[in-house]
Amino acid sequence: MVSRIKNQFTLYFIISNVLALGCIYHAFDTRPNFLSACIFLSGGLNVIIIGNWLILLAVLLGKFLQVMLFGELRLVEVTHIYEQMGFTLTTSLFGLATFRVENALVSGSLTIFNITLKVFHWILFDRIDGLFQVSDEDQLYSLKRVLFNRIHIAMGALLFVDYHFISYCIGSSYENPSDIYVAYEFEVGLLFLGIIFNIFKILIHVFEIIYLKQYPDEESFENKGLLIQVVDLVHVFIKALMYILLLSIFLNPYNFPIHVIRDCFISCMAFYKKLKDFIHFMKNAKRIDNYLPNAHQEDLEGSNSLCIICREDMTTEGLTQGHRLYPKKLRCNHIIHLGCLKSWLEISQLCPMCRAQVFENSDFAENSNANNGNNNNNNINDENNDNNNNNNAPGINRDVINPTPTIEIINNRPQPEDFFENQLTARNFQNGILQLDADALIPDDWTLLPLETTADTGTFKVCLGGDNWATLEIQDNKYTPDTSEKSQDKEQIDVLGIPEGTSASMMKSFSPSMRDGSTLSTGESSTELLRKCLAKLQQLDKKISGSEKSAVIDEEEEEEEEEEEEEEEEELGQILRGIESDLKMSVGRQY
Amino acid sequence: MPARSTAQRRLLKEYQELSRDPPEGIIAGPANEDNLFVWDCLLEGPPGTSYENGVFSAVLTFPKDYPLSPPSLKFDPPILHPNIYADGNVCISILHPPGEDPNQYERAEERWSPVQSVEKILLSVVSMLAEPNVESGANIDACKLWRDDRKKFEEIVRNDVKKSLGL
Repeated sequence: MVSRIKNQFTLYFIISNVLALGCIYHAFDTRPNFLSACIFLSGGLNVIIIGNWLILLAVLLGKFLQVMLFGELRLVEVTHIYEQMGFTLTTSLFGLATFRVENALVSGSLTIFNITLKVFHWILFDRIDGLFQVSDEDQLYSLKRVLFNRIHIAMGALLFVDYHFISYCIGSSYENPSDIYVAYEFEVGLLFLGIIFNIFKILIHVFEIIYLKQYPDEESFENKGLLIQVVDLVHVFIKALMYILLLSIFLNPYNFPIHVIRDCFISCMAFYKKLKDFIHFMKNAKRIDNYLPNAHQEDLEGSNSLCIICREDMTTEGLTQGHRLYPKKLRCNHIIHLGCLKSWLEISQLCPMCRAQVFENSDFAENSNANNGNNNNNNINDENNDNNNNNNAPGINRDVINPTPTIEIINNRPQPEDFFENQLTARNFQNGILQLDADALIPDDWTLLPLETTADTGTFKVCLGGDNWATLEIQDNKYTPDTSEKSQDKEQIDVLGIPEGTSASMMKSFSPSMRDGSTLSTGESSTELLRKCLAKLQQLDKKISGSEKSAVIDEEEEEEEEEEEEEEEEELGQILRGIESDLKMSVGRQY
Repeated sequence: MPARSTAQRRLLKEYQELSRDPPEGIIAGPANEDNLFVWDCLLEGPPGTSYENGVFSAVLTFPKDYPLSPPSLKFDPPILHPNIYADGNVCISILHPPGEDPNQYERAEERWSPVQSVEKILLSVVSMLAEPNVESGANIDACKLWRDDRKKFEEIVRNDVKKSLGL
């Protein structure tokens, strides 16, 4: 590939040279004097040949300068140049076509010069980036490598050229009010600014190196990320502002500045994105400080004392709050070093251990304030609460857009009673099914079963694992099926729940049917029935997970087991009390 | 060189743990004492499979921000397996960066998290050798062979095994 391009270029080089030299020779050979030869050369086909030759010379000169300033180019740099070259060329041509210019030679050479300058700046920016992306730690933090580097020469040279080019353009645009000067003034001005901001970045990096030398215990200069973000933000802001200014200068009905529009749009979008990132970044930092409690020494006993990210012991002793090694407690009760947590949050917003949301969704804050009053009972660590009011309150995300509302339980191990009292509201029901998010926290003693809607609206199929299915039937079903697409979706997996508007007397049958066709007897009170069903489901679950795929269960056998497993019953009782209370709730709502 | 970044300290810890209590059929450690970010691993083919008796060498490469980002594992020389690319790179959900899979194929909990460790990765790779996941294959040819022409697949694998033993 590279050699082919090289060959092609050599061919182009030879042809251009031969043509140009031939042309010049012909001119001087046939014309009597220098003047007429020049006149001959500046007309017709000769202009194209000579122009092409000049461009070739410019390219060669550019290449020579590049080798002098930067040496061999890295692959990234070459790719970047190719990527951006297309657009730059087109916008430059658009620019040339838009502006009325008297002297084609001046405008042409200005354009070529501008493009060359741009290419050099791209290389420079890539080089500066490369300065911070070295895999070798020693190299990265070597002051010598950063300070005594070839790029500083290139940077100085480019700054010098930029400065003079800009002042030349400003001078020219006064004398000779041509738009092209203004346009290039802005473009080179932006490149100039780019260098300035990159110098800031290098300075921050140098500062980090010195800081690390001074405090060898620290791992990184903590505010570096923030500073870099601020520098970037200011940079894109100024860039967007300048493009808007440029656009407004050129915007008149006679020449519509097509070539600026793209850059203007891109820079505005970049600014918007950066601003969003920045706000997100700041919010996260604030949230960590405000919403997550510090861990206490007693939390750190036993297996909890190892930070899962750096695998080092955690302690609160001898550390001030806010220190990088100070342990923070997440809402799911997992404890991580503050510094480790911060770096993890840049990658993911979920707890690295249980994948629970680290923060509530943004609209949670308002909800939780309202909920806070009746939710205080489930704090086992009230003492943590002074600086963070919201973090312990379980809340419900009432996101209307999201079809599956999240149930979030915070800080404590969720208890079934709490769950029912606090979380279960009509908002969580859709089509009569309790909807949970994939990462919702479920009480320990719950078993989740996939539920499938069937053609019959009052009936659901419950997957018990393997090939075993149970049917859940609701006799009097008050809810009307949603006619939207979602309800048609048979694949949809939901969490077993009680349909809205189902009162205790309405639950007709819940009959796990096995392959052998055995069902539970009906005719008991609904809570009794549900209790039995759940017990059966749990047994089945165990059996199936114990790899007895073709579980055949007699009713007698099952009843025996039921008696044996008193403890399990107790647990179930907890759930059922919850369900009962909820049923009462829904009954209450109905009447 | 003092080990001072989180990644280096953690890798050193994992190395110590791994050499103190190595799991069956797995040997792993930094290729070079100076660079903890590249590990050489030797994995024994799980018994009862066509990979039995093979000792496969692989290279684990850790990113700078390990354990926040997952390492990558490459079998060198490559072996035939539905979940190993033809160039030897292993495609397994535990090695995929955290977050949601854009294809909704893998669940978030199967993906990388700092809770995982070198030991867990290598154990899951060994179990992957035993039970290929043809549904999300990396090497389509291997998938096809595995599904359609198991005999030939096993023959090639046995050749790989022999090669791995230097026979």
